Amino acid sequence: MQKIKTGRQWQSVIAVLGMVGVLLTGCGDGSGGSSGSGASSLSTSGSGSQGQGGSTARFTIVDNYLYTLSGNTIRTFDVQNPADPKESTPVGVAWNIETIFPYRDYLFIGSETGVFIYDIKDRASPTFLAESFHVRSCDPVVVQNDLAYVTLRTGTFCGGNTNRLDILDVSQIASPRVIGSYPMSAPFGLAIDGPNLFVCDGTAGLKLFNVVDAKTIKFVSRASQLTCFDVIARKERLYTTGGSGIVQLDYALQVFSTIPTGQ
Amino acid sequence: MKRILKNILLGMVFLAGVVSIVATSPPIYCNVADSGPCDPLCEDCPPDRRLGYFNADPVYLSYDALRTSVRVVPGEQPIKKAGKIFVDDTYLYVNDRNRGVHIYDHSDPNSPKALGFIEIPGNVDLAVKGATLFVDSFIDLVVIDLQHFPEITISKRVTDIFPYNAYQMIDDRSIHLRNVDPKKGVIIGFSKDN
Repeated sequence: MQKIKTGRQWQSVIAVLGMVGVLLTGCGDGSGGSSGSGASSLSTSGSGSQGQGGSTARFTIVDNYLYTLSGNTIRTFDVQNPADPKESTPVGVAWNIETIFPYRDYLFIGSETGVFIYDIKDRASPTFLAESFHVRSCDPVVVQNDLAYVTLRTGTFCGGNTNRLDILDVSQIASPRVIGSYPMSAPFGLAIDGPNLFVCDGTAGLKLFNVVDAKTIKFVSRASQLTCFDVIARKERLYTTGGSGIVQLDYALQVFSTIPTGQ
Repeated sequence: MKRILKNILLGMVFLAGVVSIVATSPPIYCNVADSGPCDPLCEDCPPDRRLGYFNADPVYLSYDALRTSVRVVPGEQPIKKAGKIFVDDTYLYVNDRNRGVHIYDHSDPNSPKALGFIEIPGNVDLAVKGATLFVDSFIDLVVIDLQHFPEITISKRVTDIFPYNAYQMIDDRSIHLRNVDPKKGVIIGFSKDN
């Protein structure tokens, strides 16, 4: 399962990594609200760049604030002093909110009935801004360059009978609109970094799409044996979780290593 | 008469089918009626109305036990059921569903190094800021200082802020828990009638 890269390949990877880092820092637009800082620390005690969770996360951190989803509520904690988290007033959203994704000054909340957008210019108090309803389904959402990518999936725990990926234009943040829609098998977690869009698509495997323009994505390749329910794309590396275990890959879907899991 | 027998037989075959796939298939949303028995495969079928469900008594973990049970098991521990993940420049954090968080050093993607496992009952979600790990543990939020890992410090526990879910650790959809009493603690399993 392991693939060792040669020195030359590594050089190109590092070069690409550097460029991506510069680009991300330049537009201040990282996925996971995080990948901007180029600082790297080999110790958790260092002040390295903020890490990131997957698209199915219900906890997320923006600056000194922790946001959690549970039941029908967003809870906000000022964690500047981690030993003394200060909670602001909880905000009610809707039933069955599932996922939270930070983008610039906004939180994108995926629910069973649609995507909710909350303004967090004031980090301590998320304020409702907009919603985009869709058919009943599960829907993790990720955002980059004013485009939101949402997977709608039928079956397990979610209901509905739809399996597709929607692209939402969120340049007018208060009025998101669907501008593209692509059929999928059973999509769940997803990740985006630059032109690379990764989708955990049930038993069809982990798929890589190329974002051609705002409305258009093009299928590039897939790791058909890899079953995952969520994926993180960070600094030219993918991390997946699910039935195939914890798998690390490069952006061309070449597997580095696999940590096996029981189920 | 023959037709009635045939219908009864078909009904039994159907029921047997429903019961046999209960344990294996994931639930789906079916818009079940407001009353009467419903298919246990339906996510929206309440436990006490499920066709072919089994009554069982909850097994509790007391709140005192819950709130003193976070501890580190150093080194490589098997992941039972991979849940959500979180990654920073050096470390990969893997939730083991309802059990806790595994930590790996992923500096070398070809051979991630297992550093240890933090047992956290009822843990599903996680986020990390610097050397601080934020996790849920059933109804609590727990803040864990990892600075001196594998030694850890619970910096803070915010109690009773997430919803109490009696079925959080019950994967078997055919189980109906009887006499759930949240005052006794969180539910970590069940004991079935003989």
